[in-house]
Amino acid sequence: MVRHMDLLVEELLEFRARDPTRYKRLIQEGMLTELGFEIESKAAKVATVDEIKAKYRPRDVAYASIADAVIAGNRAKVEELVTASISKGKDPLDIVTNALMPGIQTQCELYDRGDAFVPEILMSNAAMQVGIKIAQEKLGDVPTKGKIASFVAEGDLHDIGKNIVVAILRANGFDVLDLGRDVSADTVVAAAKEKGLQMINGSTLMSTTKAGLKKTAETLEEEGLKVPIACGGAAVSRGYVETFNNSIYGRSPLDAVKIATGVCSGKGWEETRKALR
Amino acid sequence: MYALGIDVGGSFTDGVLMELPGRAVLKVAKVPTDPDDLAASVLKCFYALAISAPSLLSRFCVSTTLATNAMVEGTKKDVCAICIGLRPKQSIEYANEVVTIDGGHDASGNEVHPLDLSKLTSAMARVNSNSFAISARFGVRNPEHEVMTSNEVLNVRPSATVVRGSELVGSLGMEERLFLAAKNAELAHVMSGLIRAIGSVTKVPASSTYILKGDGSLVSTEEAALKPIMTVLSGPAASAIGGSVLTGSRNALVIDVGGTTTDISLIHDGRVRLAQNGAAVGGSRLRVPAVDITTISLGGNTEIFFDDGRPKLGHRAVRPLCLAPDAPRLMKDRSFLFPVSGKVYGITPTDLFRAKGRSEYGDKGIATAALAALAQACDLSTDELFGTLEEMIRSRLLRSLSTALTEVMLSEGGDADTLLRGGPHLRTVLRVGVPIVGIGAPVRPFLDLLEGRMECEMIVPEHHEVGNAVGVVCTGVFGRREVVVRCEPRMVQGEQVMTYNVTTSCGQRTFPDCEEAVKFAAAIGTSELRDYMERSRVRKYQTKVYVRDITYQEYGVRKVAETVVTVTVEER
Repeated sequence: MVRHMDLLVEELLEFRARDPTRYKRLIQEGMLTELGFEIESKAAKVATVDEIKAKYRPRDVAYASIADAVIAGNRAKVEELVTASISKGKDPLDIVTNALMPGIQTQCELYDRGDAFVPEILMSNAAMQVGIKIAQEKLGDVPTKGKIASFVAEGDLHDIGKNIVVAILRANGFDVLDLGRDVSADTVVAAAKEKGLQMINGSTLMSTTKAGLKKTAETLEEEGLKVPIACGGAAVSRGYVETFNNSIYGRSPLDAVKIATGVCSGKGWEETRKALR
Repeated sequence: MYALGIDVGGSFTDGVLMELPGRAVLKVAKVPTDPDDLAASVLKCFYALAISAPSLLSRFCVSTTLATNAMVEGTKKDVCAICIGLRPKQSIEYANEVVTIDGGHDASGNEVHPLDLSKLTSAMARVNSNSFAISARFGVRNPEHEVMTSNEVLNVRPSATVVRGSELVGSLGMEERLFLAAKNAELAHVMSGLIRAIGSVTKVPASSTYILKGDGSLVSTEEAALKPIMTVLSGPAASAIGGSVLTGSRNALVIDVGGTTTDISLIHDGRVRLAQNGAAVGGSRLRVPAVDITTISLGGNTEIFFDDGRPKLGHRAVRPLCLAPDAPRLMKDRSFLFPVSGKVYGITPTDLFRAKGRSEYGDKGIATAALAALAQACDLSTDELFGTLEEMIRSRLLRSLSTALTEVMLSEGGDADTLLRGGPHLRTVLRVGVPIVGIGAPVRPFLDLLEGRMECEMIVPEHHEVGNAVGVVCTGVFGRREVVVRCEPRMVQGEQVMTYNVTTSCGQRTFPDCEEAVKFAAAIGTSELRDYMERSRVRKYQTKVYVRDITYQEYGVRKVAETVVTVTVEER
């Protein structure tokens, strides 16, 4: 149980007096943890922004400038560069996987470390979509990595987290159906049946609504759909998610991508859960 | 007190007469199994044991492959499947009639739709089957609709066999439960036929006859006829128990080498380890409790053949050449060396061991001649061929033993397998913490191959060739029932109130207080198991109740998601 509030405050003040820098850092990190960041990885952060950019940067100069345009969220430039590359006879699919994707992957990883923010992700995503659209016209359909739906549990209207996850999953090449917020288990199950989904993402911010995720997971299992549910959100913890079957806990949007990649490549929920621990 | 045990296996039916509780083996018998007539196999074995006073036997225990065979091969499908509240995704091919009616519950056990009994009544007029399998959406959370449907069916057809999915297993997956119920309904007739056939000829009273279940416990014949599906994979359970009884060890790795396959199972604290997701039969998991076994295609009858200039150890079973009645004629041409389809006799490990003098089973001249022919074809000396073949058998055995111990399957020829195999300068020795117990007629030469590669006690007990039958006799009646108290928040006038739900045999009870719910769960578990023991004609038994919370942390506070009340009963 939570101890008496006064005791807690007293301890906090004492701690601040003893080690002010550490106190400041912990407070900042505490707030970030709420938003889904891992303290340990931030503390052990070694790679700089430039290193991350270098990690994903394509070798090809033309491709590298496309990736940079995606990171910058510059739609006009992406359009111009992709059109130029295609007219030079480059393979449209190659452009998507080796020029546009590295750009968004860089942005996602920067976001995960706190060096980029939601608007930047959305801008990069929009820029990438422009490029994909041009490639698609040339190619027909770009193959998707998997079919996923995202929703916020019944009774909960907080959908910022879900929107970020949807954007990042789309950016990573998944076909994501956004079911919106305050969605009942039956609606999710009906969508899973109708659209032949491979995975479902559920989130909730409030502890009173988290039972909706469990209900969805169990209904999917009862109806024999073999569709696992990835759960996340401020009110959801690994401990809670692992009290029921057919579910995988994800802490950050990048976890959602890892889970989706695992599940859509045919792994079961148990295996994916183990891989993420 | 004398007790008789018979185990019908794939190739042989073993029988044993024992004196209890001393567990002394008095008589043993082994006859070949006739897969098309299991009752005749049991009877043949029974006569081979020459029991003088069948009515004086304190217990007659039987384990059969009836259910396992039926699951793998499928039978005549004379069942009507009733789905409540869910239209099945795939066509139901295991039933010849399907009725879908409205009804069913949600994950919390609340009614979603009222049950449409009028539709059932009108559908019943057209149904021809006399066996029914019923499964309702979330019937495991609240079986109310299944019970109502079952009563209605029995009302219209009083002589019908009705099986409800939720009374067999407690796992989620409505269609899986429907499949189990349908298979169970179908098997019920076959099983009661077998029990009747055995009883009428052996003259052993039905009240002292017991059937072995897949989890290694005995059930009365009435119970077996009601839930025959629970006897799936009872053979491996029998061999695991037999191994531990014959050696008297409470912890052991039991390796049962048969003709076609080798089954490896782990005994921990005198109990067989059960598989987490239920029995694996015919490539799929049935959610029925069964022993956790590692099965490999290696036994006395595994085919050894010539392929691409080399000797190979195959996966199918043929009969050993050294036991063939007309072996010289079979060996006139060289077809016995090749993996010809439909081959009856061929070179097997049995021939190898006979030729090397490791066993006394079969004709030594024929075995030697056959292996010499193979050696010549492969351009190897006989000793080189023996070495190669033994190495193949050894590495398959080692690989499966490590699988049984670690629960990780090493890929054949993979890195770990290479390390396990060793080489001229690396000898990998596995040090195993429990003794290895060998069961089955051809086991000894197989275990001899592991000499120097396994560092543990290796025991091949006396009467190991009928170890399965010993296991069937030396187990008891026991039961286990899990009742779950689910903590579910409910909104009452805008406020969140915790409720505690317990599923009963005919519906669901909701409690406002956790302690009360747990007490109720323990009470229904206990009374159900007491009832079960009474029906199994066991007078002296011990009941134990365990309560376990499934918890999680939320903002530093430990919260309970559900409380699992496990009740066990055991014969004393």
